[in-house]
Amino acid sequence: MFDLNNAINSWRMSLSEKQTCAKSDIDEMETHLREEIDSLTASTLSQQEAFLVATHRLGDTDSLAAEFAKVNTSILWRNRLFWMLAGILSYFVAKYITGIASTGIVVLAWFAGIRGHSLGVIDVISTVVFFLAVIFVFYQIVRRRDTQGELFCEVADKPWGKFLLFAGVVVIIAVTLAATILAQAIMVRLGGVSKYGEIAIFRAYAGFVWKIIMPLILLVVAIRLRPSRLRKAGT
Amino acid sequence: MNVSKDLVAASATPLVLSILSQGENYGYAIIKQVRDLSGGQMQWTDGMLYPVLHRLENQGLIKSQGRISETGRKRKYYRIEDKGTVVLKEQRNQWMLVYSTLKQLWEIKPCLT
Repeated sequence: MFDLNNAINSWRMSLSEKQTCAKSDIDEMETHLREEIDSLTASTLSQQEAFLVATHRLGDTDSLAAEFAKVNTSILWRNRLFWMLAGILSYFVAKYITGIASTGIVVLAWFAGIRGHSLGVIDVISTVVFFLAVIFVFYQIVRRRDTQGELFCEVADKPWGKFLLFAGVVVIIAVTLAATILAQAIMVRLGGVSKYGEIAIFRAYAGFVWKIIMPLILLVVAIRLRPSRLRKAGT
Repeated sequence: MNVSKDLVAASATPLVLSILSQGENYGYAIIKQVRDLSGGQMQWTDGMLYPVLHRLENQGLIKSQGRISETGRKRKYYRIEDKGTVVLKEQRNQWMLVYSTLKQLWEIKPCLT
């Protein structure tokens, strides 16, 4: 059964994916589309036929997007900048969450009596696992939603949402830093400075391994999300 | 008869400004009016009107205002600005000049020699 609202939504989606039209541009053309469909269904056409004729008359989304690109030169760059900033922010959040989790695991392992190289190994493994988990969650959010960052917009559009975002970032950073200091203090107090120094060395080894692995993980994600793959899947 | 793409593009500005000089209007009605006046012969790709409207608005020739229509839809109404009236006058003179030149060339003249 043909559903007009569904059809119009997917038409909107294909236009917004081109990233050259503002939401208000698409709203305006949707009104146009609906008025044309109304006048066509008033004659003998069915809703589906009217939709096909109206979208055809409006023009294909590729050339529409190209025309709007000439007028809205700033929108494309705003979109790109948005995603760059979203990426940097996501990276920091992922890094901090991973940091707090792996420090916690190392402290627990230390309390469990694990010493020496094993601590470094535990640090690497827990860091990789937590980072992968966070990246996987982000990946799922982006994949489920459409490409305009709707979840972020929904939250950011509301006044309390903005407050929530700022507070969230501050809380994540503050909690992570506090937990790191606390973990170090506990280890120094209970184990002594030399023991702590030993742990710090193994953690530094772990960091060396991790700093090579992490860019590789990001590269794998980037390859999986590449735009040409999306186009192939779409056709 | 289809009007060539270049001519459609060139005539878009004077057409839109002329229609808006008769009073404020919205996208769908502007296209409908062009279609009706040309007897259905001047067929725009409808969507191309909107980038034209936005360009004219950026240039300060027209101004838009979002309002709810009588059918309950959110419509964007455009009206002409003073600067637009000036540009329309210039465009009108240019088009009239082109028209009168072509008309003289194409008029069937009696052969005097």
